[in-house]
Amino acid sequence: MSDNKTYLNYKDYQLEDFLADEFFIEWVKTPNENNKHFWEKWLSEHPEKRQIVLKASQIIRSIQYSKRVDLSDSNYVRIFENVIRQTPSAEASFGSKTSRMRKWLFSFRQIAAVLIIGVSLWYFWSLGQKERVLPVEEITTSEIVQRTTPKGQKATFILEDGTKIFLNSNSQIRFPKKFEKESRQVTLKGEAFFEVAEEERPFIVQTADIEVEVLGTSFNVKESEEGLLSVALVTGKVRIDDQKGNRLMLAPNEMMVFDQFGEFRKTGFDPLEMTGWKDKKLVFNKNDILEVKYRLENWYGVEITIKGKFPNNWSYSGIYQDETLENVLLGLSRATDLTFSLKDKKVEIAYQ
Amino acid sequence: MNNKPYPNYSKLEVVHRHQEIIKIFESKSDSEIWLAFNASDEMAFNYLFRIYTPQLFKYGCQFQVGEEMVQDAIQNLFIYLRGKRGSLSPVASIKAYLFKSLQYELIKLIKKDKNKIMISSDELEANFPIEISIENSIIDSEEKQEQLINLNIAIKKLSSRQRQAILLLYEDGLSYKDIAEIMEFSEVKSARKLIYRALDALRVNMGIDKKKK
Repeated sequence: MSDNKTYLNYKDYQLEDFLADEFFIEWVKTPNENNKHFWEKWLSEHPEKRQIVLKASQIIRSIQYSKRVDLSDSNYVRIFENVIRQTPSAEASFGSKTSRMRKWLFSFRQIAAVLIIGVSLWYFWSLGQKERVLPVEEITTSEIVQRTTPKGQKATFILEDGTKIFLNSNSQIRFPKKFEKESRQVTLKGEAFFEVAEEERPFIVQTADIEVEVLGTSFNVKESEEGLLSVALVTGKVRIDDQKGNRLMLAPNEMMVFDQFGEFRKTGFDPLEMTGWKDKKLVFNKNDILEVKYRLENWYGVEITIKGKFPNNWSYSGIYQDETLENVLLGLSRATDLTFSLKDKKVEIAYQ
Repeated sequence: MNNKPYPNYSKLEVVHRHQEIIKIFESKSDSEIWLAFNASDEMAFNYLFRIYTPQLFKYGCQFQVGEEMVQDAIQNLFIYLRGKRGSLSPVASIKAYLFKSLQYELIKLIKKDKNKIMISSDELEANFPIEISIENSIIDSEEKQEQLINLNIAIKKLSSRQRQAILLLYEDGLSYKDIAEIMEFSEVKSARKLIYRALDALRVNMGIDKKKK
């Protein structure tokens, strides 16, 4: 089994590929709307795979802990009460922190000796495998196009393969004038919405930290100022490979958010809120004043100063379709207790 | 102690209270719940306890130690975590973090146990026994029955680490990233490879040919 195998399409999957696929296992063990929708559809399109899928799901379901023990209610309550009563004060546990760490490390050394052989074998084995090389360097022969949008401006363009890209304000995208034979690759900073033209070559979006490979059609990629990166899928299917080697699949209406530490979580999202910007819809959904400020600055390319102290529970929701900044500010001031002044590219917002 | 936070709670009350709390936290992400717990939110603690104690118990018992030791380890783990509230680092996957921490607590208890001086490799090898469950619906043909028997034989040939990884993937529904964290791999790739290897071994031992792609 080489590393390349995991890049195969599901239609090329053999038994062990299904057995190792997180998205497939999720469907077998915890079916939900998203995975059911995908797999049932996929199976109806690939009836020849029914047999192998059935076999794989039987194996997955039949493998269980052989020690099936349950904690009795009385033990559950006993542990709970003991925990509540014995919680040490913060100072006490802080003082013992180092000795505790040392104990962990020490005890792990014994086990490490047993495991190290196994780990190094895997390591050498992996060295022998062909790594997937991204064709970044080869692109130099072909001309690279770079598009940058300042704050207050958005851009839409169509690539040579028919893919449509909506580039949000304060963003940058780079792509070759002519894509390679093997893959279509673009590099993104900021936020963009992609409507990918379907064809055989994979479409790959590279950001500083992750790589998004498209198996389907439309999705939104966003790097926020706070260091959060999100990929939201509208239709089709995307696969995300992060720097740590994690591989994640997204189904429609799912969004993956990565923080600056590379930790990630999957959530749902409001399509209007996430992708409304490409249709010139400025959407606020219970945003606090700093988020409102940040959005308006990017949207209109202005500088905003906040005066006065906004209450902690202040939030604003509203949708504006292709509106002027003045109208948005008027809307804001009517809905909440604030006043504004607008001069050139400078805005002052004050809480009354 | 004059102010017992939970005086004379009956068994039923504790269990019922915890069920109510589940509803509140169910829709929150792991990192949100962890933040709440770190901020000393008692409901968050109750939620963690309710959801993860049974799972931790089941998982801990797969190491060949007594059930009482597993219970002690769970107790120590939660006491430790409650004591550290306010200075806990962010956690992306609570389950992976707790499973890993339970292993530490178990090792500490094993070391304290005077009867056990060291964990032998044979003992480690006995960890994570797998059972092939036979559902009535799937042994409707002789061929399938044979397949199950073969699977049983194939499973027996896996190492305990391979069994552990496969059980974490199938039984506990954990991701490769979580498995790597629990099994102390620095790279997710290594967890992936451990499982690929195990599945490949299963395939070979079950006599299924690898088809040309």
